[in-house]
Amino acid sequence: MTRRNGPLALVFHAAFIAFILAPLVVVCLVAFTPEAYLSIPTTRWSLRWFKAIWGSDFIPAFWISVYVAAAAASLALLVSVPAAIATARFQFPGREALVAYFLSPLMVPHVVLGVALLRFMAEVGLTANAFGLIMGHVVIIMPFTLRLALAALAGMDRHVEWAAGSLGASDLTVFRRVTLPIILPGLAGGWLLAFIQSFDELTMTVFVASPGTTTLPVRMFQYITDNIDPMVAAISAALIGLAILLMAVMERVYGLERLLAGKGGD
Amino acid sequence: MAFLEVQGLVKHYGSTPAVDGVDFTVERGEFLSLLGPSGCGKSTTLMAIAGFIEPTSGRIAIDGRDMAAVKPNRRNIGIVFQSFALFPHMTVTENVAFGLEMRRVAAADRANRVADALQLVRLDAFADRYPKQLSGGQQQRVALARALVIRPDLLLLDEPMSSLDAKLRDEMRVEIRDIQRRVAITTILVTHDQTEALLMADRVAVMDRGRIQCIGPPHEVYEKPGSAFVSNFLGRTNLIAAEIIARSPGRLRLAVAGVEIEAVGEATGERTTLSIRPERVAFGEQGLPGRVESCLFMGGQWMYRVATQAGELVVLRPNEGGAPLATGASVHLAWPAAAAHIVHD
Repeated sequence: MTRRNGPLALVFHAAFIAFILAPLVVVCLVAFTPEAYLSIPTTRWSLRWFKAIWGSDFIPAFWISVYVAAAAASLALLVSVPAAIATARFQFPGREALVAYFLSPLMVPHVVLGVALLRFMAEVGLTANAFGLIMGHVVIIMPFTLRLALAALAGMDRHVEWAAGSLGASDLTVFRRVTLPIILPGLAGGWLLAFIQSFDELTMTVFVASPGTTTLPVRMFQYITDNIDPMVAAISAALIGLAILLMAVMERVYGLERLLAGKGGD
Repeated sequence: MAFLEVQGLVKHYGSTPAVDGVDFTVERGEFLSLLGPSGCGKSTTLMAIAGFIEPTSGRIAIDGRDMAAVKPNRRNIGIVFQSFALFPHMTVTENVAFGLEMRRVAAADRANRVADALQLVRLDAFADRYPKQLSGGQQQRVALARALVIRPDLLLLDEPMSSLDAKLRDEMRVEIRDIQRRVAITTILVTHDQTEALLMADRVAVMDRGRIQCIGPPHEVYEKPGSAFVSNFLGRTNLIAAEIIARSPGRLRLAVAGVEIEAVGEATGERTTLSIRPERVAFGEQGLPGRVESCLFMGGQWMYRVATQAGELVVLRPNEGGAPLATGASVHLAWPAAAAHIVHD
């Protein structure tokens, strides 16, 4: 049974939602200003700043972000699935410690990671290298892919795998034909969260990114330290639009809740 | 030599034994039921036979072949799990065909066998559905078809009825029993439901604390339980303390609260415990005196609670249309000597 909210609670919820949404709304409004400075358009709308994005170096930075995020999320997933199976299915000494270790990047401040990675990559000669940046992102986003892979495996009936085994399937076939299809929604959810985390990552990336591997958040950060104009607002509005579009597509194709709740099977 | 042999099976989890020395054999085509409360080791025994749990010690052999080094996917055993464990991303047909695919059965032959199996469980009309589009009973039949289609040497049923509602459960018991007879497959059923075990199996093994307490044909185990645990677990019983007066081979003369009776069984010492089934106790002119405490109507039977010097006894009498005895009535309880069995704790 659900209880109805009282008027006070309703006001609180409304204020809370407004607080979350207001900055986004303001950014989107500012993006349409015809002026050369940050302002909410009052008399006239303009696509001037959106046009300015085109041909700027924000576009390559966007693509670098997409490549880095896709590569890092995929790599993190590839590492997470065997790790999740090992820790969810088998009992061995140090199992808990291993899970805690894999999830520990959540606890370490990104600034610290950034400094550490910068030093480390300088030592091993990975600076000015997309590979180094991707590996750094893998460290940060791996907790997300691992968590969702673990949740998907935990939500799965162990007996389904046993049934497949008793019917004659080898361990590898059981994984390929039964386990993987069942946990796939969970894995997809993990990949998506990891992608978003990586795409969004600024704090650590600022330390590690080099001129050849400037991601979009880093480029935007650099830009607003030198300029104050509505260009960044336009990019933000474009990103918000893109995110809404992607979510709508995924909702249609898959069901967003199912994807992000990380549930296995039905 | 028996078809399935389980000898000295032991499984420890840490230091606690889940299965603590289990021995039994199952003949080809026989239906054995492992019955016991949860945690008695019956499911562990079943999964050890299937190969998913590695025994701490003991031997399992199917058709004379030791199974220790045989992986679960090479044992040719069909299993129906409590959760049915259907593949949610496959249709009914794909579920049933999976085992044949693994055995590289040619596509045409595969289709025929799947169709036959679905017909056997009366699900031919649901071939293209997904498991979640089926009811519990239908899902269970898919699981059964999937286990049978591979023509296994052994069929293992792990509490297959416990997630069905009562009416469906009754139907499925009879149906599974019929199918088992028809395909004449060696079967082991694990259950905590005594009615199910008695109704379906050729032989029942009652398990408690990792051991088999009693094994035999259902009516024998029911009539001659041997231990207080078994008699209590297999239906309702009256346990009565008695003093031993005289002994003859297989028979005892006893005193129950001053009344002399006879019983079957052997016992040492001066005191023993008797088990008498409520349906074997009758009201008579002579016997153990008592007073009717309560009377409950159960449709086909009346259930009386009678207070006696030997404690409160339960008496079940068939409903023959007449009025029951009134609460407070003075009665005498009597039973045939063959109905009183010596049990050990």
